[in-house]
Amino acid sequence: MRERLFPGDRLAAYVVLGALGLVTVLPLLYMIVLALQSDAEVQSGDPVLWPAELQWSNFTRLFEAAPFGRFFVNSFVMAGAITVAHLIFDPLVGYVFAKMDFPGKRIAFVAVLSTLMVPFFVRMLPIYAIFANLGWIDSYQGLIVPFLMDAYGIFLMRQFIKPLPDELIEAARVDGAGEFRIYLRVILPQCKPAMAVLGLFTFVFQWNEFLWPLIATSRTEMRTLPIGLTLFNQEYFTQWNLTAAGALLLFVPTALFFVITQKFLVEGIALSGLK
Amino acid sequence: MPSLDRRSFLQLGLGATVLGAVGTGCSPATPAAQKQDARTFTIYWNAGHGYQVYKDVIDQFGKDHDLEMNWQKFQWPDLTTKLTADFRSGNVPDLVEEVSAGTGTQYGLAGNVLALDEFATADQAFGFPGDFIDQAVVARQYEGTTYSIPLHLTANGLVFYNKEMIDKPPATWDEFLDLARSTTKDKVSGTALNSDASYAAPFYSQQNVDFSQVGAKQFMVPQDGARKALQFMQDLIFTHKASPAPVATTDYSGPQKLFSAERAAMFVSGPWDIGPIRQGSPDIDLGLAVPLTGAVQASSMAGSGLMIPAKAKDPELSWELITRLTAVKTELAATKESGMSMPRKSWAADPAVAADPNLGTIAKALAVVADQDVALAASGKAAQITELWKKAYQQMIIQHAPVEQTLADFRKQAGAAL
Amino acid sequence: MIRRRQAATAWLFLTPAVLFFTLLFFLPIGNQLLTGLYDADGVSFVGLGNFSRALSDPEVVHSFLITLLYAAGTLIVGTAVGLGLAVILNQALPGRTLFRSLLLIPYLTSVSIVGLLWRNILDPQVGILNRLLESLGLPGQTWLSTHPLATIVGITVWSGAGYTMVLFLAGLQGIPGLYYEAARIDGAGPWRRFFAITLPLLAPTTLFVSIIGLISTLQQFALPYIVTGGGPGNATSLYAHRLFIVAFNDNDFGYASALSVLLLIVVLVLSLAQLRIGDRANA
Repeated sequence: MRERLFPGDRLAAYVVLGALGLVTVLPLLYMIVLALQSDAEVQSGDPVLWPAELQWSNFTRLFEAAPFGRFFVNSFVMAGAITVAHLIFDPLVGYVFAKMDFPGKRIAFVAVLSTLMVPFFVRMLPIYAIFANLGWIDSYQGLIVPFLMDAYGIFLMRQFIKPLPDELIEAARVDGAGEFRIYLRVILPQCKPAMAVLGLFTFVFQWNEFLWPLIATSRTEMRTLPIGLTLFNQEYFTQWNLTAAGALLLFVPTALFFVITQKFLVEGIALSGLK
Repeated sequence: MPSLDRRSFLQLGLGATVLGAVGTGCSPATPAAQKQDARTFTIYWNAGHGYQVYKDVIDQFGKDHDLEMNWQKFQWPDLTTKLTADFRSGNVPDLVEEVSAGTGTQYGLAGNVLALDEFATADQAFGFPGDFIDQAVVARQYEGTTYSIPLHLTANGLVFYNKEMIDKPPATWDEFLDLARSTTKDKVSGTALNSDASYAAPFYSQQNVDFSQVGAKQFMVPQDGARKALQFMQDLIFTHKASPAPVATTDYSGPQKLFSAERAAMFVSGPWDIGPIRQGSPDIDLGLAVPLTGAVQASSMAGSGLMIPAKAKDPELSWELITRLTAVKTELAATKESGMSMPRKSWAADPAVAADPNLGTIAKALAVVADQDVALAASGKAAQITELWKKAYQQMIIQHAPVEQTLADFRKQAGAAL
Repeated sequence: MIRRRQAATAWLFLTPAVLFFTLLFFLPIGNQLLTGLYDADGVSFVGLGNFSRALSDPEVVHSFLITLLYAAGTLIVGTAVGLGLAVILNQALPGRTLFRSLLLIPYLTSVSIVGLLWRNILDPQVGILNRLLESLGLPGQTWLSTHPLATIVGITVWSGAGYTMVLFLAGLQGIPGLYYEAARIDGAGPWRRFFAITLPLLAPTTLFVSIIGLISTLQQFALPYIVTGGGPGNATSLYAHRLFIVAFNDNDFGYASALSVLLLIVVLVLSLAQLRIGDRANA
């Protein structure tokens, strides 16, 4: 039996959601409108609400202008590998900081956290110089290695693991389970919702990363999608229709990834309901 | 729980210091080895200049020398970022398009790009500097050394006007103001000013104002002319309401779009806006007129160049590609493809160019480009001072800050930056 | 004995992290920061000169102040909106999955696209928003000129609200339903349950959201870089944007390094203070 906060609370909730939903969705719908405009409409100076003729060919023009298929694969390899690495390392380190006691823990945690506080472009140039020496420019390892784990994910996992009852761990220890086994069999299964969130955010962030792929690649076949999108800005104006079409292309995988993790999130709800 | 006290803070600081000290061991000062394939030839280019003509020249060059041509296209700010990183790590391309005159000088004096005079002297047939329009050359030289070769040459200061709204284009500031006011009605503005500070250059040049005199540590002088020019622009917006206040964005196509939508009767810009207008609104009867005359008639120079990084694998090869890309034949073909105007005198003299009315107008604008202060680029502070100017310009044009005071503040800050 | 063994295990688990952060964070950053002691040419040693220059540089001081405003605005509005949405969408409302998905879409979109899109929409002369307002008979807006910083805050909240919402949703799901049952039996109403159970048990999430939010807003540079270029004037030239300009536009890496040290100190102090308050409240 549902309780009411006040009469009509459900209606109020829908009004709020509807309004925010519109503010969220309308600009993105406009992006679709932009993507389907002709070159003339984009340059006409009059904002176009609906193109006279839907220019689906804008999408094929993308692939003719540059190897977007290849950009897509590169982006996928980069973001995918980094996401997997984060899912392996971040919960482990987060668990250590959340549940283990050891000398130097405070400093270590602050040191890890401090890595979040310097903009990436500050550490970018030394890494670039080293990677150039290693011959890692224009390589997948060059794109991936600087982002194998990060303090964001570690912090996220620490915050999620901390409220888990210590008794779970103690009980497993009494049963004679090894430390790594405890982590793997007791802690990790509890973390599914958090890991879904971590995986989603990591993938989205890396998928859209611009600066490092710009610097670390200098061959067309190693470029990623966000770099490819900049090819359509002319010197003095933006080729809006193609840029928007590319942006939609960029958006599809992150949306798919979200749909997948959404299921995990629902599963997380089911689990906590059983408790 | 890790509560964090002062002690751990100090330890962190100590740790960071130690690590930093170790870090210098692998300083980026050591040049990175060229791990790139020696048969790959890398070119950085502006994404808006990826003409088929250039692609053909580059492909042919690759065939002739059995090289794999790696032609990378960027937006200007991205190209600058990438190049900065490259120079600092030693992992550089073989040929780079220069955003505008002066950039090469700045890089060259820092030892990042090569002086090109020896190549040019040894290559008489190339015709540098004799066959190139003087201003484009002079602006790329410092104390007798040339750091880049002009690729394109255009001018900001042309008057674009809609022939259905304006019969006879303005020639003087008074005429411009009168026309701007008389054509302003309902949804149409007489003109539209740009949010980008470089579009102020034609106006202050028409008052004989120098942006900088680095030798004398002066900026925007003579002060009277500078005040007059900026006040004129500000009044167009806030007093006469003959132009909408531009909006601060990184997109400079606002005036062109208003003109294309027939919501501005005329505006001041360069040849790059011809294409978008034709494409977006083929029905507009576009008129193109020579730069205005204030105290003098003047335009401001624009257009990219080509430079060779100091650590390029084989500068001789890079030079050869420069000569092919800037050959008059290539220039004429590029003009035909894109409408871009070019720096060679023999290009301007070509019948195909002379016969084209638009190109004729552009050529007249090129004849009155204002001189650039080469010492500004040489000071290494050009980018920083341009940034300060951008701020001052937007404060006057968008935020309606008092002209006199803002110019004075700019002079003070720019002087301090030097 | 057990303690020592646990310490050994902990450091063993941390080994990859220690290697990674040392090689790819501490060494490069330390290396870069040392250049903060040098002149723009990287040769002449200026000691702390770059630091005193920063403190008396009006552009830097201005950018720092507006960055604080930007961070405060974004954090307060963003956290409130995100938490509100999460609480609403944690109810058994029909269609909640749809709304969750819709609201997260902006976060899935790359920040450069978000910036370009809003720049296009908000343009007072040629943007779609004023065209719509006009057709409804409403006066047009010029927010990018009249309220530039608030506009950047708005765009940030727009793109990040769904992200905050998801974090809070995940946090809400971690709260055992048992507690609510017990409270209900004790006769606590929904508001009381929210303040007595939900908020306190969400504290780790709230702490995370606010610290990460603070860290990222203090380093925001992409939005002003793409939308306004820092303008009009220097109204949206946030600190990290200025830092980027100093490094990659002015090529003054010594100064840029000094600026990043100052940023590191400020962010570190603020987030440690937050962490300490948060952890104490948790304990």
